[in-house]
Amino acid sequence: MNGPRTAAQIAGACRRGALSPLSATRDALRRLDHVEGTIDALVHVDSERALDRAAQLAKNGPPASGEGLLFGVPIAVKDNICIEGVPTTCGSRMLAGYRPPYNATVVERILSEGGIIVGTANMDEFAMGSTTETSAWKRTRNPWSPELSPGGSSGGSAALVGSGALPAALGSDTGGSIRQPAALCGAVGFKPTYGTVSRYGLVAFGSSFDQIGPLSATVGDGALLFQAIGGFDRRDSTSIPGFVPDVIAGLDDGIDTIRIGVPRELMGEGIDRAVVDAVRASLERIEKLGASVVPIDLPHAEYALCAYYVAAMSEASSNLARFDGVRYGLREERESMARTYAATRNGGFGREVKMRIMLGTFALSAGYFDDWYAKALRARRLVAADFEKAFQEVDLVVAPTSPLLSIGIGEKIDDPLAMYHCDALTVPASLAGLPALSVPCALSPSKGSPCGRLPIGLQIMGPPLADALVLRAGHAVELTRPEKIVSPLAKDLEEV
Amino acid sequence: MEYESIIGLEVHVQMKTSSKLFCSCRAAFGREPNSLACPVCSGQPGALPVLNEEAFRLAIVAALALGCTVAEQNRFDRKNYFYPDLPKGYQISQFAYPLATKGSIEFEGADGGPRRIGIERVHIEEDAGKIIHKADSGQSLVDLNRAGIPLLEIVSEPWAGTPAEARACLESLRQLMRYAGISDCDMEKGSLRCDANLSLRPRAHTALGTRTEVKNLNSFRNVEKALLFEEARQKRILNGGGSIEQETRLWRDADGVTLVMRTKEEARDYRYFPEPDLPAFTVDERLLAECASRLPEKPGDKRRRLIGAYGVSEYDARLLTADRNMADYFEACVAAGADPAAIAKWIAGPLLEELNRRGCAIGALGLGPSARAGLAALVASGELSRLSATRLLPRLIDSGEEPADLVSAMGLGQISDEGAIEEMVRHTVAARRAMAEEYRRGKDSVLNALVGEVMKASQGKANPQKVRNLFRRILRP
Amino acid sequence: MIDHKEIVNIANLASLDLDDEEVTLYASRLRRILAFFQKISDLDDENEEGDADRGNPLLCKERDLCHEGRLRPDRIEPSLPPGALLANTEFSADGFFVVKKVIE
Repeated sequence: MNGPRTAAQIAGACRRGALSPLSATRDALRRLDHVEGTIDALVHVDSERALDRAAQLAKNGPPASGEGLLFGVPIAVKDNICIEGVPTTCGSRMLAGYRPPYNATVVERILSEGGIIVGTANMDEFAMGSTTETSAWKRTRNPWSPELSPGGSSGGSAALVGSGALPAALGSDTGGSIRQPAALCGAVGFKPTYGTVSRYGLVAFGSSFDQIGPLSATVGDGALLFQAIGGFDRRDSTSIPGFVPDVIAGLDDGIDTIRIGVPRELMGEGIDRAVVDAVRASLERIEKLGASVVPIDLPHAEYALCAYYVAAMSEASSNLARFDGVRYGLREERESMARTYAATRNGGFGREVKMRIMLGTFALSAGYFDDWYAKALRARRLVAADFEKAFQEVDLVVAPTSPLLSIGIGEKIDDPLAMYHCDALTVPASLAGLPALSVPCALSPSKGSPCGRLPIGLQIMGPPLADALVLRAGHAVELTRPEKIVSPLAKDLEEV
Repeated sequence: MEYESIIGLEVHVQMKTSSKLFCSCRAAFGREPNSLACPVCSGQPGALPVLNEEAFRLAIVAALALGCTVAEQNRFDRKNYFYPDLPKGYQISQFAYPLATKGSIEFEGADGGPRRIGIERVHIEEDAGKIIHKADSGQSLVDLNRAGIPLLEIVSEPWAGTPAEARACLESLRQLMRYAGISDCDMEKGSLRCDANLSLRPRAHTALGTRTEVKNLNSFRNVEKALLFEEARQKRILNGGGSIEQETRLWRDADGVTLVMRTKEEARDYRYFPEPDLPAFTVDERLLAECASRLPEKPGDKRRRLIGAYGVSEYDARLLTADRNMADYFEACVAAGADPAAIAKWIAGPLLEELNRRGCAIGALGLGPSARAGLAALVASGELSRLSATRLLPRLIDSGEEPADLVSAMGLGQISDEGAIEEMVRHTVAARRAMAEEYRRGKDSVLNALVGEVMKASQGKANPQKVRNLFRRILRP
Repeated sequence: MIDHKEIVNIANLASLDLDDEEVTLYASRLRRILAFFQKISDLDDENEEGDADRGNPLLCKERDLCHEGRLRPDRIEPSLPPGALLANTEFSADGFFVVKKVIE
């Protein structure tokens, strides 16, 4: 199938009048139809609504120049981002049938830029997980191989992009939930600097970590989507006053003067061989582009995983307290108010969510606060300080995204600690609120790989507000990839 | 065994803002249920709080009015617990770094003299929704209109005192908050709520006893009653050799008792932690100065000033300063040319009566200072007797006409003409021979009754002083 | 550290009605996880200044811009129509949310 494939190309063609938004949407729906049976990535699709909107956009015609960044572009949105009147369940029984009475800011911005939301993407329940297996609805499968997990918690978004069905989707990242599934699905995943994209309308998990970001087939599309949704929002007090994204113009500027640091702590044990090799090879290519690569230290990295989980789960235990069945969502009525609450929450939440609520509640409870929550915040500051120090010597920090090349569905679900380790390389940037991008850098060797060659993600992190630089570096890596990174499913689609 | 009571108060005051603390819903009372809620205050998934600038400022003004030290940085915390009127399952409040600490408040002490107690802290938090209990059903109803309304929590330092003092303290606090324009402090409308706590200790001891907290107090009188009850209850227990349980109790007004609501074991663990959705807020010199400029003169200071600067009597000054608007009105009238003593009497007298009769506050009357000044001038000059002015007032308020015009129209002009008055006096002497004879014989007290007769006959229009003088001249030459 | 009683206590705080099987499962899992997280107790207890901004890394840095855009003018904007607010629950009557009686 020829024609515009990236979001940028679709938008450009639609703005020029060379392509109709209706046609782009029909095409996307057709492709979704084709792959959904295999990947099971969508929770809610409303084709009619999407087509109606596309028809309306087509009727209105292209917008004034400078507007319509996403004009005619079909996009999916993770199931934890509120779309007014559209079922938003966060992958949980607790919110079965819930239709938000308002739009998230990012949804408003997508719509005002002419984007078309075709459906909501499956996720780990309340974003808690690294494999999209805790969803109450279904297990999403990796477009590279159906026995593999697409990663999580934005597994649905990653699979939709990795399968070639959509050029882009929105996900959310708390400890790696955009980056890790992007890496496993061969997509680009970008977690922007904390505070650059509004959280208004994102169902909160770890408030001081959560960020909405794009998953896309190309870095250019990631930049485009970030450009469209990012920027200060007065409805989010954690969004950065005065911030306006400016990440498209300089995308092609290259990285020949850039200094890159590689933390020893994030290249060490516990990481699959194939991943380490791919990252090393990628770094060599980066050096050839003119960048300098040096080893650095993040001395407190060993505390990162604990600090992240304790802090995030503490916040989550509080954020999820609103799910009590009184005003919305599931209610399991019992003979008293207290019993109703407890039965509702016990019945509505899955096991992993309950576990994290328990952990978070424990960490904040009297007698334990100083030992757990307060210490987690200390560790957080120390990790952030490590990065600050490193960024005095280097411009960017690079590491693998996922310690594992792949995760089989069912492999880790009964072992929480093993599951948490999937985030070991992504949580440091989450703790420090840094912009972090995962870009596919290579395919694993075919030898000894029952699932065939699999994509490997390179993680690029920058200092706060260096989003443009991070994207620029990702773009450079993308251009110098030795091979195309296209999933079997996507290849299939191309031939259809 | 002689015990003394250690009393503490925890007061919640709704701040007078247009919108709620963290969202732009109207902050109002008595509307259709659930008509003033939005994603933020109803705790919808994904909603976020944004602090109301005016609430922040009002809180600072209140803290300054209470003489507190305002923290350079304050922060919000989450107070976590489950309740149907708490949409998010937590309340955004301030725990570790409150807005202000270490203030004080003055009120009338048990011995009649001024008493000053400490204010431990003042902080900002959001109100919860309202639960209505349906009688005879297993159901309760939740209305979120009130959820998110800005509250100021004011916590007193405990003091060795009396339940009556607690009441006086609350009255003083209410006056101060109204003065400063922070809140209407109307317990009936829920804009002021109070929990009280009390413990006993043997006189002259320093260690504090176990205290109990009482909630569900919906009037200042009930605060006093509940504390009196607790005092007695605790005394009984201690005298009987028992010990006081640390409890939260409810005041049951119908029966005049407190009942256990929560025991120490059932005490909630609120798991306070810093609110991640809000930054810390700074109060710099500039903001502090801006808020300080909004501070009104304190009631006590104003009273003393009115006495000193205008020669207003203590009694009148107290009445005038009970409501800041009234005191301001008085000063505006003086500035418009009215005689201070006369106008003070007039405002604290007939005007206040009229206000009470109409059940409204001075701000609601459309009576401008020039109209008042005109009226006062008429009274002072003797042209209009006090009684006539009172009769004139309602019409003056309702019609908005100039006093002088209305006086003529109503024929209320005071009769000062000597000849006319003499005629009325002689007429009364003839009609009341016995009383007139008593006065001639030396019984002074009868004079008032004689004057009263003339006033009645003249429909209050006679100049009372002239009437008096004429009686003297005629009956006691 | 984490025994049966503790789990039940935490579950109560979190308003989760766990059955015995769940309590046992969570107890063992929590123990393992906490043993792993114990690592952060290695960190010193030093007292740091400026605790006021804790929790949010970037907000610390933007402290000077703290108020810019983060204080909302005291203006009223339309609330949700009551229908919209009650639409996501079947437990409502006469404009109110209905719950099981709350005992005072």
